[in-house]
Amino acid sequence: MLTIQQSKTHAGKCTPNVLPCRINHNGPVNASERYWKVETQQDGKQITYFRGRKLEGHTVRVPEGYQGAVIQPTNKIYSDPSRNISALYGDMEDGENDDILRIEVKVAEQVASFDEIMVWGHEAFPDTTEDAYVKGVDEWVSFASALHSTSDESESKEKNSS
Amino acid sequence: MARIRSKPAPKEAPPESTVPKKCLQPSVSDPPKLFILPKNVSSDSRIVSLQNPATNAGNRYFFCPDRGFYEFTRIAAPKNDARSWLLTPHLGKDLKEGENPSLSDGYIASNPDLFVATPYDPLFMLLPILASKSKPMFLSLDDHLEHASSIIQWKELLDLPSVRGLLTKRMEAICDITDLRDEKMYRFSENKLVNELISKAKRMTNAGLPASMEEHFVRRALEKPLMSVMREDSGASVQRGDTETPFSKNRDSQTVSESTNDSQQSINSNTTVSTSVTSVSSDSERVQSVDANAEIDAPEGIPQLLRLRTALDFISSLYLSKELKNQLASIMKETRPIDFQPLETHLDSLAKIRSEVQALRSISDNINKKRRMADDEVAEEQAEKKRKLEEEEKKKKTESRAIKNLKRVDTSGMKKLSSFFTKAPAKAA
Repeated sequence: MLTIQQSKTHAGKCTPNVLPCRINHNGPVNASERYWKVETQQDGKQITYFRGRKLEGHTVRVPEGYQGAVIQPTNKIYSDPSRNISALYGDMEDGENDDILRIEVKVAEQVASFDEIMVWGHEAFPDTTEDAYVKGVDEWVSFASALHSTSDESESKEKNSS
Repeated sequence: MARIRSKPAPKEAPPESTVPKKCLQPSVSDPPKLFILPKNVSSDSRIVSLQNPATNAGNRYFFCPDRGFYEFTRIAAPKNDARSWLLTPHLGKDLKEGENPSLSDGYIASNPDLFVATPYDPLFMLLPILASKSKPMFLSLDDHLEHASSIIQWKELLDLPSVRGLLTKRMEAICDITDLRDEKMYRFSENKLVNELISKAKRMTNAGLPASMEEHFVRRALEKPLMSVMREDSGASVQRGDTETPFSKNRDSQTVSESTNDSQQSINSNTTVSTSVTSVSSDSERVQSVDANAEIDAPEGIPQLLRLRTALDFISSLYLSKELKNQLASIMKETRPIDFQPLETHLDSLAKIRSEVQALRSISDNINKKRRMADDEVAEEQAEKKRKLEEEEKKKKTESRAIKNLKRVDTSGMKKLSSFFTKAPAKAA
């Protein structure tokens, strides 16, 4: 079980970029303006140069009601100020059971947040109809909420009442 | 030159520079992950591992006591498509540096996964619990969940009253209920589940399928093979009539004119849907009008039926276990809550046309080949003629001037030179 906590070293907003190449490295890099500078052209196209290669970008906004989070799993054990969740609801009859069965909650730190991601194509505009990121964020979120909305919110309510 | 060199340098440098940072951020082997999470969730929200109802494998879900369950979907580029994350400082945020050296300057994560949390109907979590019972019985919620609560993660969740409320509500949607001594008893009902899934599918299609799904499963499936092109290059004009008849027979009587008449449309969509739930017909009409401008060439009601079926298939492939899927399929066949018959006949006829066109195409290919061969012969002849002409011209051009002058001399009265060299007996004769 994990809980998401704001990290003390929260870096604020960042922009995740999907590069059209694989980089076999995980870790901090220097992406200062000298090496990564996004330019907006007159026709609204966003371009940048990555190691001398021209990339064209497409912005995918995080859908309404959602937030982007960069999350770092840690091994820290979460110690709730109120000991555990159920204490909040006053549902604590079998206390001893709780101690045995209570699973530890680990902390996942949110180290940064984002409002949009950029999908980059090499020398070409990324194919927005087929790109997994564009589809996943734009289409799937609304489709999934249609799929999973429980019927008591919408039409079948009318059905039941009628 | 120096400038160019300076570019790659910083990219190569970080691995070295991360070494001292490793103690600060031991996660270089375990880089941060990117999530899209619902906004304004309770601080008591948790990420829990629960069984995926379809695969029985462990799956992570996001749970918020106020909002309910969310499911994580991993979005990743196809394997052959090399992608990686580069986190860059947000525009305008560049000035404010030094808070977190790892992220504010930029960060590379080689794994391009993005996890999106989308709402999740706990109904699907209940299914394995309910459907696993060999014989459906009326049981209280607690008895139903008895098995589940032996799993620690569930136990934790079930302690929350809000989860109970949620589960009870979803339970009611798919179970027959009786009251037994002030306690509600639930018995899993497959028919209710089918209805629930259908209303889900309807809700999914009301908003319209996502563009890529619509393209793949609806538009392409209903695409008619290109007959007109066929006719042009086939030359097998005799068969034209034959190929069209099965199609026009199977179509409804009103489809003589392709133009989408709104009143006709609504009538048809009513008739196709009314077999199940009449209250939805108005919605299907709305969708009909949407797809009218999409110009899918099919009898009215068919695209909508196909969309519904696509949505149902989608749900069952994603969230139902195999056994349950088969069970429901047989129930659908028996009870026919939605009559897919018109769709099936239409698809069958399409398949028929397709195979016929395929056959025609191979015939016409043969014809074309033959014709091509004939053409080749003609062409060869022509080429030969041309070559001869050219040769003559060439000869003419290369002739010497003396010969040309001699040609002008009138040789009609003269004896041929060769006549002087013929054999004597021949001369005598």
